[in-house]
Amino acid sequence: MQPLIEVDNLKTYFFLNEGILKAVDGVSFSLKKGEVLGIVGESGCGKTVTALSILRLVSPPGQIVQGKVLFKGTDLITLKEEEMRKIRGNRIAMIFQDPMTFLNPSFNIVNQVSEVILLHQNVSKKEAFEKGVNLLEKVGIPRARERAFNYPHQLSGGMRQRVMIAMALSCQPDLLLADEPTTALDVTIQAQILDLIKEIQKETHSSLILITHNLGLVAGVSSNYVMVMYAGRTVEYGRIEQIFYHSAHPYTFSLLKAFPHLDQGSKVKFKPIKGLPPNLINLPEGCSFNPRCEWARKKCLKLAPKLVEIFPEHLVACHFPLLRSRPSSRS
Amino acid sequence: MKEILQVENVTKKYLFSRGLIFQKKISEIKAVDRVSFSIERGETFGLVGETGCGKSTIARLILGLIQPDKGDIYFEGQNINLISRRKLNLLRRKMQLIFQDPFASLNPRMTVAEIISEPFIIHNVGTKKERRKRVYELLEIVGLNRDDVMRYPHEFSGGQQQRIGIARALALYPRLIVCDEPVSALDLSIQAQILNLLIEIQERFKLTYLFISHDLSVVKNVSDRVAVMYLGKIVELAKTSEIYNFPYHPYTRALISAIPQLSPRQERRQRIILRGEVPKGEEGSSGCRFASRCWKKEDICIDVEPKFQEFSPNHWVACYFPEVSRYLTF
Repeated sequence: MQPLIEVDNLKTYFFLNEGILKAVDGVSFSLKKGEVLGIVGESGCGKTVTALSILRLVSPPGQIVQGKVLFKGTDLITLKEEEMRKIRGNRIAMIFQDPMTFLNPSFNIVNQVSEVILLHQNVSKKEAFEKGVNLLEKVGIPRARERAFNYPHQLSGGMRQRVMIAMALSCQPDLLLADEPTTALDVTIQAQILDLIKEIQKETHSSLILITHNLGLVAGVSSNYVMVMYAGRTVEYGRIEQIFYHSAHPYTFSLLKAFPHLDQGSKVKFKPIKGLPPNLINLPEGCSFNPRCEWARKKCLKLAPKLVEIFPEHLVACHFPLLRSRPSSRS
Repeated sequence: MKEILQVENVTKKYLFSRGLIFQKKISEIKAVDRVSFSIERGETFGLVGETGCGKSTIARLILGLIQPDKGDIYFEGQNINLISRRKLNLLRRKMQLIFQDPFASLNPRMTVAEIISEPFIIHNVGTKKERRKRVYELLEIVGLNRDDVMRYPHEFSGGQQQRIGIARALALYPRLIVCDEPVSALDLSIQAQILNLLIEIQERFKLTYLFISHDLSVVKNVSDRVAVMYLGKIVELAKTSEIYNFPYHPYTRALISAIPQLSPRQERRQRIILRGEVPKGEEGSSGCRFASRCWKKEDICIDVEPKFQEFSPNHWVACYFPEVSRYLTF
């Protein structure tokens, strides 16, 4: 089956006075229809810029300098702006982290949802309104017909995020990009929204890219694949079980260890990753993780590792991948 | 004395007005409603709950920054709301606060040295020389360099800024530190560093922590006892291992089940998704506050508020129908 989206060696740089900030520096992945990819990394690792680059929403001083984004076979990077607009919000939709910033405070919510429908579908205003109300109902807004005339500030955080999801769903997109969709919400509401996204993704059989700093969330939406990013690069990519149980990159391995577990006993010392994430303008030579890596050797200080397939569907960018946790009987 | 802090039946109301001039209505919210608990010397007391449940109000009440409407707070046996201002100032040396947002809690125009020695100036402690010595000592404790003293907060990363905040909190040899969401603004790999530092200095200086957080997995890993709050009330209180293995209150159970787990294999896990949202606590409803979202509610829950009682030894819960089965995380 042909992948729905294929990102090949994408590079997005920001040209600042201080120098060139390599926000995304060679990211590749592909995703088939109906599959879920989780992109994980700390703040500033290029997760969000990757998503924005796919939608071509990077504004100067940022620029996509290299790479291809093949969506159903057409390269989005070389597409005319007009053509791109037909895809944005229509075939590929995005759910943002902070709904308050992305909803317009001076329009009521049904207005904002039906605007997307009016823009991309050939329907009358009345039909668009009806569709909008139906969508609001579908995402679980109680008394949607009355609430439709509410303004964003009259809704709670969870409800606002539901409106964002309704907007993203309005044209039944093939691909949903969700950028930290639950980070701004309370835990019990987080679980609700996550469930909603999961449900809708299954129902519409669309593909989903979930961007988050929370490794638990990636497991929570039952992703098929996980991509771990560090300093603008993909450091590990693979099936979710591979990443969680047999992580081969020292960064992924340490990140999983640093995460507080519920099944740990209480008052256990954490195993933090030493040091700080690097400055993206002034990256260390060689592997950008080397100053924080416990296993770094001479080669790591000089040569940046390439992303190689160490097992089927398991790619790692490391000279000395960790293989000891892998059981021999099954893969 | 075992207890360093006792909170007895404390209530704090906030008034707020709604509507325009003519239909102006003044309503009140009970941010904290008849809350009692005590913290023992040397322990870490975890306080968890969602936004608006009153966690931070409790922190401010304990530090004497706001006055309770009802109830008493005792710190080392002294009622902090009745003693004189001078004595309160002396007590305040012994209790310090670590804030959520490290950058916002550091004055951008002050150098690290100035920030850390501010407590000495306020409380008039030590000579110039002693203060300087102590600043260097504190920097070393929190893992910063001596050369950092003349730098400004913006030159540091979030984790390092939090270290400066911790150094400042330690300056006057406190007994109790209130940590209000100390790691929620930090990156994952940095969170663990700061939590380790907090645990380390606790052992070294025999500190007592009130650890406030919305993140149950973090709280589990640092606390000896945990209290769960919902809409201004403590609904459950027990030893950490008790509360995570046998959560009695349905809300606690839902909270624990909502934590995203690190395991893609979640078959054995009980998933509870609460319907609805946290209601606003303004109306003077009579029953259990959680009733509107609870799946076990019966008539009595809506009519009469359940008492907070010891359901099993040292495990307190406010619920008529506590769950008793073991909760499986995996």
